[in-house]
Amino acid sequence: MMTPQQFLTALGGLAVGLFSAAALGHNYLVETQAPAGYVHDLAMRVPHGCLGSPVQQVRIKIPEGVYRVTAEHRTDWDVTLTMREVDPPVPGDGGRPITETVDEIMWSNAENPLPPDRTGEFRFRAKLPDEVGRVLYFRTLNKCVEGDDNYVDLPAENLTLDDPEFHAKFWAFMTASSTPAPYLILTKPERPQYPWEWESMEDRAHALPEREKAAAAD
Amino acid sequence: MIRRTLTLCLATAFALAASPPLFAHAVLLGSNPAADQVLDVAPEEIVLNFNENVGPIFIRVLDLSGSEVGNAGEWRVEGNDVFLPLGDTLTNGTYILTYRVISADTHPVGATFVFAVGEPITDASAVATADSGSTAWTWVVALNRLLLYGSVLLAAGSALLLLLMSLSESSIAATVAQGRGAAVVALVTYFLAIGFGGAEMVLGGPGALFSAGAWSQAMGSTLVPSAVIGIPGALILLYAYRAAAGAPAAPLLLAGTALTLGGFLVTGHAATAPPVWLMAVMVGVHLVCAAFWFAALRPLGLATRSASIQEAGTLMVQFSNRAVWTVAALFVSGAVISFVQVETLANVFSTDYGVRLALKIILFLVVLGIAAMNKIKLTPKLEAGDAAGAASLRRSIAIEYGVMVLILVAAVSLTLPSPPRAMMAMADAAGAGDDTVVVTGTSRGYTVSLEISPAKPGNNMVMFSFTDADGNAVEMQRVDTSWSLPAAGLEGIDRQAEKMGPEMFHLMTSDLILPGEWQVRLGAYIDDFDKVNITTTVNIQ
Repeated sequence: MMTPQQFLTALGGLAVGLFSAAALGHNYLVETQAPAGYVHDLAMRVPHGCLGSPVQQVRIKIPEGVYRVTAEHRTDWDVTLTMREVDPPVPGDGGRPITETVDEIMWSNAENPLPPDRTGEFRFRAKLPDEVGRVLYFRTLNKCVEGDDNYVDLPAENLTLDDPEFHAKFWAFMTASSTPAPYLILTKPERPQYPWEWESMEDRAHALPEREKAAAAD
Repeated sequence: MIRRTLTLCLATAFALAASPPLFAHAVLLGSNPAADQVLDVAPEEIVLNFNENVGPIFIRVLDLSGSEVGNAGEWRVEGNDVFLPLGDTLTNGTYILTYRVISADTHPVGATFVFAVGEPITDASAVATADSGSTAWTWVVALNRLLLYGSVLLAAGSALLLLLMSLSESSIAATVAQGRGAAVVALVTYFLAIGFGGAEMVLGGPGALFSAGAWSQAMGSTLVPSAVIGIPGALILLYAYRAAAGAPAAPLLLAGTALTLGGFLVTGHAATAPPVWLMAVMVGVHLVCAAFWFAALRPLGLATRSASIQEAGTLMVQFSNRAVWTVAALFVSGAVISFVQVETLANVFSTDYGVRLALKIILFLVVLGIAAMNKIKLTPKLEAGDAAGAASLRRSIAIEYGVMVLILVAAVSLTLPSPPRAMMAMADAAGAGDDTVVVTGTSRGYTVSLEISPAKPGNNMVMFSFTDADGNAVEMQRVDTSWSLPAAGLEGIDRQAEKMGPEMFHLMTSDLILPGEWQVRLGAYIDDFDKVNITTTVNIQ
C-alpha cells in the first residue's frame, strides 16, 4: 500500500510534471515568436546532451519559405550548409531571383563536443516568410557521442492561429511527443522592419515622446 | 555478431532509459535483477539505481498472471537507489518488473522489464532466443564453428587431395598429417557444437556447458543429426589416415569425406532452404570444392620448400588444372546459394546478411586473384626451375591461406544473422496462419500494417510495412517502437525494429508478456528529419 506521503509525492509530481512538460528539456528556439517577413536572428537552444552523452553535432532543417539563411560561426565548430533548389525561383534581395537556398545547417565538433550538463546556443539568421499566423517548425537533430535526440515530431494536424481550437491543439502537440520539433510563430509586424521604410507617422509614433505622439495623432 | 551485440546493448539501454530521452530526467543506470536476467535463486529485494534521487510512484513485481507479488508498496529510497523488499515470496518462474518514478525535474518516468528465477525466461523458443538474447556463448559457438568449418574442410579436403592427385611420397605424408590433425579437431568440435549451442540457446551462464538443460535443449535442434553424421565421418578419416604408411584406402577416404561434409547438409540456413534437393546439391558441391582447394594449400607450400623445384612445379600444374574446374564449380554453386538466400540485389545492402555475403564474395575474388597469379606467373617460373620463383610462390600461397581463413570467418558470420529468405518465409508463414493478427494505423497519410504472430502472451514476431496515401510501399530508414499496456499499468517498453528488406521491418519480442490491449507507438523515419508517428493497439490474448 502507498503511504499518504508517497501518495502526495506522486500526485504533486504528476501535476507539476504534466504542466511543465512542454517547457523543459527539449531543444527550442530562444524566441518562439517573430514578425512575419522580417530578416530575423534565431537561436536554437540545446539544453542538454543525450542521456549524459555530449552533443557533437546539431543539424537544423530549414522550413519551406525561409530564405537567405546564414549560420553563425561557433569557435571550434565546423558549419556545413546543404542547399536545395527553389523552383520556381522567388524574388530575393533587390529583385534578384533566388534559385537555391539553405536546406540544412549542420554544426559539428567531434573533438570538443558540448558537455551534457551545459546548454548551447546555435544561432542563424533568416528571412522569414510573410505569412502572419503560420507556425514554422525547425526540426533539429542532436547527435551525441553516444546516441541521438531527434526533435522532429510535428503536430498530428496543421496548426493555424485562426483556428478556434489552436491552443488545445498546440497543447496536444507539445504533450503527445517527448521530442517535438522546435517551433516559431509568425506574428503580425507592427511596422516595417527598417526605419527607412517608416513612411507614415503611425510607423514612427512608438518612438516619439508623448507630446509629439499626441500631435501626430491629431 | 558485433553488430547484433551492439544492437542488443543499445536496445536494452534504450528500453531502460529512452522513455525519457532527456538528460534532465531521471535515468535508470542499473538494477538488480537486470533486464532479461535469469537468476539462480530468488532475489531478496529489487534494487533500482538512478542517476539522481527519485520519488517512486510505484514499483511492482508481477507474475505472468499479472497479479502483484512481493511486498507491494513497501519500497524505500536511499540516495539514488530505490529498494523493494521481496522476502522469499518469489518461486521459480518469469516476473515482470514495472516502475514509475518522479525525477528531480518533476517528470514521471517509467519502464518495464522481465527477469526470471530458476528457469529460462518463459518458453523462450530457439528463434526468439537468437534474436532477443546473447551471451558469451554466442562467441564461443561462433569460434567453435570456425574451428569446425576449418577442420572439416581440411580433413575432407586432404582425403580428396589423396584421391584426385598423384602426389609424391613427401606430399602424401604432409597431406596425411594435415588430415589426421584436422580430423581430430573436427571430431571434438562436432561434439562440442551440441553443448555450446545448447548453452547459447538457454542463455546460460559460465557453467551452462555442464548443465543438463543446455544439452537437452540442443537435443531438439539440428546440431545432433549433424554430429551423428559428421562424427563417424571424422572417425573413419582418422582411421584411414592412421592405417597405412602409404596412401590410405580410397573407399575409406570417400566414405569419410562424404560423412564429414554431409554433417553440414542437415543443418544451417543454406542447405535447408527450399528447394532442398537443389540447395543440398549446391552446398555439397560448394563444400567439396572449398575443401579440395583449402586442403591443397599447405601441402603445395611445403612442396615448394622441400621437393626439387621441378617436382613442385609439376605438382602446381597438376593442382592448377583441377583448380580451374574447382573455381568454376565454387562460383556457380556459390551464386545459386546466394541468389536463393538473398532473393533480390537490393537486399545485399539493406540487410546485415547481405553485407556479410558481399564481404565473403569480395574475399573470394581476392583469393581468386592470388590463385590466378600463382598459376599464370609463378608456376611457369617454377617449372623452369627458378628458385626465386619458388620463394615467391611460397609467400603467395601463405597469403592465399590467410585470405581463405578470412573467408571461413565470413562464412561463420553468415550463420549468425537470419538471411532475408528465412525472414520472408517466416513472415509468409505468419501471414498464412490463423494466429496472426493484423492491425493498421494511419497518420499524415501514411499507413502502417502490423502483422503480429502469434499475438499471444510470450514470444511474438512483429512485421511492419508502410504505405503512402496512394497505397504505394514506402521505404523507411528506421522504426522505433514503444509498447505499453495501460490496463495493467505497464510502462512503455522501447525497442527499435530491425530492417530486413527495403520496405519491411521486423521485431522479435518477448515483452508482450501479459494479455490485454497493448498500445503501440511507432516513430518511422522516412529520412533523417521526416518522422511519422503512428499509434495503434494490438489485442494480445
